Amino acid sequence: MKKIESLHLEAMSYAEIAALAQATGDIKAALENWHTAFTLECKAADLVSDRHDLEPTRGILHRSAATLAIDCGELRAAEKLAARGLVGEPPEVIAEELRDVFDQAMFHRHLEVHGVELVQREMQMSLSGPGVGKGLAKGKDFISRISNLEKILFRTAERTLRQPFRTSGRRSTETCELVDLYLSTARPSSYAVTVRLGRTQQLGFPEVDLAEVVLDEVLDCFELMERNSDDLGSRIDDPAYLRNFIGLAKLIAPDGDNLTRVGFTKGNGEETRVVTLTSRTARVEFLPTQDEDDEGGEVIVEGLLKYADSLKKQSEIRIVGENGEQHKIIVPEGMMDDIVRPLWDVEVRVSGRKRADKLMLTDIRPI
Amino acid sequence: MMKTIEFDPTSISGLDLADLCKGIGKGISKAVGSCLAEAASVSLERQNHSPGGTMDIVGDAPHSVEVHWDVDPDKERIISSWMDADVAAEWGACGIAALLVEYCTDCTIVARSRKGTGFDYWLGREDATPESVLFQDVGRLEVSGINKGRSSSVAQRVKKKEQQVLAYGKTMPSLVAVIEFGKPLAHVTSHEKD
Repeated sequence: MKKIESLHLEAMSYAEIAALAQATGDIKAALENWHTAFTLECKAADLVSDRHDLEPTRGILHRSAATLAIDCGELRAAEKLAARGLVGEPPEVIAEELRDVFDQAMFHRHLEVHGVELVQREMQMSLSGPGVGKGLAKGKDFISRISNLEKILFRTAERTLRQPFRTSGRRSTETCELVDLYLSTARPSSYAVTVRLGRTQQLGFPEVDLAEVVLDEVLDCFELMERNSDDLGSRIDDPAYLRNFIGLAKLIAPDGDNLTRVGFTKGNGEETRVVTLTSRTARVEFLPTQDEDDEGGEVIVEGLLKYADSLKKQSEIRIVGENGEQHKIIVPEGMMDDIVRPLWDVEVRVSGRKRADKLMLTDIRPI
Repeated sequence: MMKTIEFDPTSISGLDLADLCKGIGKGISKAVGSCLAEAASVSLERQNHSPGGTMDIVGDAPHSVEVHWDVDPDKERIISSWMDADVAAEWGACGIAALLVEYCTDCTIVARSRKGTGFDYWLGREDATPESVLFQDVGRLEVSGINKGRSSSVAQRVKKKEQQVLAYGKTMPSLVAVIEFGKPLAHVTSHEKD
């Protein structure tokens, strides 16, 4: 036990140094220390691997070592450690965390691009979770995410081109040509497709490739959403674009049940960039809208989305409840077209803040 | 056998972040304690709080305490080393939760392990057996940090953490602490082992 204890304590000391280096931006030092911590924790886990009587110690050490393996990119080792941890009888809490580490290790492998080279203006989108088989995903899960990805890419292109938020009217043909979305056939790596922006040469922008800029911007903002970072608000300074981005990203993010991860891979080899959305992104809150007018806390109503009026000064929808009661909901700029309209005639759950006899919408989801 | 973690803050009037720099139990070294203290002070200063300000404790045992820290003359350097406000809030929350455990329970932090993007802290009695370092007869500290959130955000975070604890089937006692730096407040609840 003494040997296990000293290996574990030493591993945690290196892990803390690594976490601190990562928090303060020293990625090289972080990786070196993650690796040392992993090696030591792995030895500690090895020493208890046959001690099925020693729970929760056995499970916790395996989970800790598997997590450190992911931290330093040893995905195969992470898989093995998590699987070996699950072979014992860890308490359910630890077993669940071991399964989660195993899923993470597997998903990183799915994000690797097999047999396909991603060229400029391309990225791969992968879905993973209990509802996804190898090369098979529920149509609804895939189609809705591709549709919302297309919207978020287009809105980001309009924002990049410094166009005001478009509340009505068609997309401009010129922007369409620059960032039109093309899809490859699906690949059986969980469920993955290549997404390509723009078919034509981008003659209008010789010095910068708008599609590349848009893909990078969307990935940067996804990362900020996943971290629930306040920096997203300063990055997207127009409230309508910000609300729109948050609303669409929440719909692209996994629900946590059928889908547990939605990943994006861009570039090849050493240039590869990977961004993963989890259900954390789906829980990010909308910015408060003019809180000084609000008359109370958050109110949640459920019912059928039956009435929409975007001609008024403030767009309005009505939700018809189970007993026929109607709730008037004000829709802030940036949400009507892309987020609310597709839910017409659908049972929804709406969150909002009370304002006179109406609610100011903060979130809307199909039930 | 540890079944519950009693949390009673009424006997304390203040938390001094400098106490973290001495280390806490066997689970937080002096070096890590100093980082947690720095992250907590940066998170409080980012929300325009000053040393000696009040932090409300809500949840199982409502109370309020003053929070003290030494203001570093090189404030800009410290803030720039914690550029990611969310990371600072998570680390700072661990620091405040560790002090609350130390001063308001009969437990201390006896061990830690790597989990997700952070660390799991494990609680044991002051006279815990040496095996507690390897998670025998321990409770769990669940911590979450929010920079600035409305009360609904805090309530949501607390609910999520408590749901996790319930989903575990109460196989071990736990203390859930959600720290919000805007007001600031600490929402602390204790959950028994079945």
